[in-house]
Amino acid sequence: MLEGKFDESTLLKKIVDSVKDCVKLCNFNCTEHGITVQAVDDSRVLLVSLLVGQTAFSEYRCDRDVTLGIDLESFSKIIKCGNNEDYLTLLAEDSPDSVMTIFEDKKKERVSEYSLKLMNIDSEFLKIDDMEYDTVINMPSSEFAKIVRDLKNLSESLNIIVTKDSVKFTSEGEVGTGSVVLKPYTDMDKPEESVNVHLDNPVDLTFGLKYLNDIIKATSLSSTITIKLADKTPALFEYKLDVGGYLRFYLAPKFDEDE
Amino acid sequence: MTMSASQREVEYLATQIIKEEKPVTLQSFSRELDVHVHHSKEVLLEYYQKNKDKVTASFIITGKSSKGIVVKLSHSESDLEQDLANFTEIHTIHVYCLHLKKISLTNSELAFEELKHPVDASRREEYFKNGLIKGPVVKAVKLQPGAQPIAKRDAPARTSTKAATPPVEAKPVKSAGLTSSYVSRKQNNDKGTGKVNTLSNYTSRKGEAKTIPTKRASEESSTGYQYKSRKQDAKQPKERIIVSNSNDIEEDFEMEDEDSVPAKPIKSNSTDLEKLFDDDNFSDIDVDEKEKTEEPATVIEEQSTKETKESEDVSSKAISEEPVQTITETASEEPEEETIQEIDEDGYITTIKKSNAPPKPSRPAARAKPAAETKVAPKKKTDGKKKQSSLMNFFPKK
Repeated sequence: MLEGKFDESTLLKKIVDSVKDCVKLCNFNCTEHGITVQAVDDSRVLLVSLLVGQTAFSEYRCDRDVTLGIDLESFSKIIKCGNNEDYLTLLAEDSPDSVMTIFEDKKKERVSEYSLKLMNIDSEFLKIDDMEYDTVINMPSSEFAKIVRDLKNLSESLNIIVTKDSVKFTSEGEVGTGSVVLKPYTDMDKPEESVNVHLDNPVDLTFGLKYLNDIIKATSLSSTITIKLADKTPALFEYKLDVGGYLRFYLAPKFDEDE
Repeated sequence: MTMSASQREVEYLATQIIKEEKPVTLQSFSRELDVHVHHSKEVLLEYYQKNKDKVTASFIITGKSSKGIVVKLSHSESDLEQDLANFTEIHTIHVYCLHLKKISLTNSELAFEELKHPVDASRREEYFKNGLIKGPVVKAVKLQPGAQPIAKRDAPARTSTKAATPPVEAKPVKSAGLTSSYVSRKQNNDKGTGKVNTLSNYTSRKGEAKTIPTKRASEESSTGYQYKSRKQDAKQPKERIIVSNSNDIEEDFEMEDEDSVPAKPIKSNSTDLEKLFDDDNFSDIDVDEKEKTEEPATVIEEQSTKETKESEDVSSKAISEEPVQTITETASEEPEEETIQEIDEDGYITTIKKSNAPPKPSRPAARAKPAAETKVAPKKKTDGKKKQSSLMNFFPKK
């Protein structure tokens, strides 16, 4: 029996909206510690790794590990049926063929429940080792989103160069070139506005803006984003959930053809 | 007629009615002696019939009249016949209250007699046993799912949470309830929010920030980008003012540039305006030409904008340091300064304002060229060729 109660439906709504554009089907693995998702997009370039910790729920109970194969597009439609402030409860049996989503209005006497049929999803579970990254950048997530949105207009690729004291995002296309340079910056009053760069080795990596554009859909989940980069390695973009958990994207870089 | 009343009951009635001269209703009798109301009615009636000389009885008639369902308190047996006439249909007639004939009580007094007895909720069970009609059981269940019809009536009782009973398991049968055995979470409200707050995983990142160098304006930008932070220049008050003005206008220019090749309409406007101010027009054209040759352009503009020697120095320094990148610099900065002229000199001379318009179209072109020159060489070649790698190259399958 899985029973997860969110105090507000907003969180799950945001999570599903963040992910549904890059992966359509994914398995929600529910354990006693919370819900995890690992899914790879069709082109196998972007990997989504989600942890919704037990603490993100106002109440959470999972007697036995359950895997919920969910069609995110449909799930998103269901989740949109709830108002943001509604209580949201997820319910599933031990070996479920459907998952129940229940909304309850906090003021009015209204309870709505939706059952979503589950799917059998074959998913390759990739093993991601903790690794050392050359560079770790912390920055406001909205700032990153803006950079991606802006530079996406110019080309398909975003080049990120990190050196000792600056981070440079460059996009070069036929119509022109754009680049944004960020330097470390500490805002004591609003730490989430700070830009921190921890650098072990300079990096120069290029990523597909198409995928970055999917990644920034998670911007609403967290005020900051952590970007971890290492040469010739997928980059890690992490949005930490304030309530416990994270949404991570691993994005394979682009290489020069001869490499 | 044999007396069905026990000795005790008769004695009670005798003391209450005759000795104490109090009225005895069927309920009070039932309560005091802990007997069922049905029995109480029988005893009262029997007592009345045997003591008609001293005791009078009031009756309750229930039934239908032309007005609908009626419950009528009939003051005495003599009134009974008369009251019965009002009924079209009679369901029950039973004795209500006995009292001495000599104490005359009005109907209201009789009716209120019962109110003198406080109802003790803790003795509910007793009341039920003695014939208090028991309504549907009221459970303190929160919106019971899959519920039987009773559940509906439960709704108002939800607020009384003290007696919360475990929720009944939902049944898949169609019902007005929820198919899931969902229990309202409103009670949990406080608990829930508290938990979320206390367990927040947010970690302040202030600490990290301290460890990291925060120098903002270091001049050596190792990315190769030569733009000089204008925050340094802000120290010079005049320039600072200029900067703030120019930002807005610059944005406008950029918008136009990106959207399309917007030059033409602006040009036509400007030419009309130029005609009005021929003298200035010449000087501005000069400026445009000179702008293309980077250095003089900046100098001229700056001169025209009531500049101080300081600002000139800054710009010329920048140019002298990196001749190549000044192209981009000037491209972005020139429009600002010109537009500044507009604003600054609006009060004085309008000519410069109009002449600023024509340079706009020429700039995007100018901008694109230097960008190509400076940056294409190192990166642009690779851009098209870059090949997307797959995650599968990096992460092994489990």
